[in-house]
Amino acid sequence: MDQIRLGRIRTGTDHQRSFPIVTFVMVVALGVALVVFPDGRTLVQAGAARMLAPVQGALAQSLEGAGLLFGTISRAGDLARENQAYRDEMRQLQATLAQMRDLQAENNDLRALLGLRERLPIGRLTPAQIIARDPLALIQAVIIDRGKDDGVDANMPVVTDRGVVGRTVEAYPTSAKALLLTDVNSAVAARSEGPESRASGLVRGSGDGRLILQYVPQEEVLRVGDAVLTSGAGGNFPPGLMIGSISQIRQSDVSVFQEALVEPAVRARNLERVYVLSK
Amino acid sequence: MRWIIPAIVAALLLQSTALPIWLRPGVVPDLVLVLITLFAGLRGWRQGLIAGLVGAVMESVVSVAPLGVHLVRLSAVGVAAGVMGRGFERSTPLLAPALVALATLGGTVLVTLSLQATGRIVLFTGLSASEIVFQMLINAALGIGVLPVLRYLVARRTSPDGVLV
Repeated sequence: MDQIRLGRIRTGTDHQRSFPIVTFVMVVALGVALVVFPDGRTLVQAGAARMLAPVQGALAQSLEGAGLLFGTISRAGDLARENQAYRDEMRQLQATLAQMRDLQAENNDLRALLGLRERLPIGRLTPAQIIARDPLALIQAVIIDRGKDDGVDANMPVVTDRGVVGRTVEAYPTSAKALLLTDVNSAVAARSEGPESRASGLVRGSGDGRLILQYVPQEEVLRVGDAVLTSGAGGNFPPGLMIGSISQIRQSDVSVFQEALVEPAVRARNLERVYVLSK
Repeated sequence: MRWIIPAIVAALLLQSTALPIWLRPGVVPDLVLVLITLFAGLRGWRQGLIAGLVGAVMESVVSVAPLGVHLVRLSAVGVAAGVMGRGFERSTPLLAPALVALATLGGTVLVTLSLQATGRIVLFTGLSASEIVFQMLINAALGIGVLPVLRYLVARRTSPDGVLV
């Protein structure tokens, strides 16, 4: 019987009974070993941490992202309102910025005008805005937003801090028409300011945006770059207002007079603000 | 007919205030002339003449040139376009821009003569000639774009049996 018992083949049932016991014993042994040998425990912990850390990191990030997502969804309404409020505020700030830039430009103009006032003994300056241009291409004229109600009348000089723009030709109660100096039918008595001479002549518009200084005697010396100013003869324009500078000289042996092309000091194309000079 | 008056006013405002700021001189189209030319071509010389008179009065408000200069130019353009543009809608599509280009040239000639008659100096150089040609092309191109709009407006104002409402 004992031999039979000893030779008995172990069946699956016997394995099932002994497996838990063996596992328990192994775990207990491992635990005791880790307690007794702290280095081993540390090794196991380090190994486990190394395996678990990336998983923990990924899980934490995804949970954080999910948390943010749910938080964002729940706050969607609030976020939309905040966004709209920021947009409105941004629009207001942009409008304020544009106004400030405009004010700065006006400030610069007024400072330059103050400099002009100090340089020349001139009369009252009425600020005006150019509101329209003549629709005919053959005429160079503008409409300004000041008229008789503001003390503006016909035949008054129109200037900026940089120089002469033209003169008023018609005035209405709230607006006036001004003929630009570059128009062919504009003329102003002028003189050149050069190191060698102060030649007198007449500045007319050439029709292509430039000016011509005419009727300058041949014996007068003109140089490219000389400034051309109003001479005051004729009575409409006070003396000393800047017209432009000489860019080219035309002389002829058979003519009594010489001419010069003058680049205007004021480019009328982008002009917005001008001043009407009243006596 | 009455709708052409605010259209002319709007065109004049655009031409004299906004376009000179956005565009270089010499490139600004003559919106009023284009409008009157095409309107006259669609509605005949009588209504073209009235539109020209209205346009001239409006233009003289913002122009240094005397009223007569604008009257001569735009009324002549209105009448001529109304006569030459007869059968506008049934003819070649090139008629409208060609008419506008001719109106530009004719209008420039009339303005030049009128200004000289008033004692003003008018200077023509080679640059002026090229500017006139360029202006004709710009106005003709604008006419191609404006014509369908005008056709639609005219059609809306006409009942099915051809009576103006």
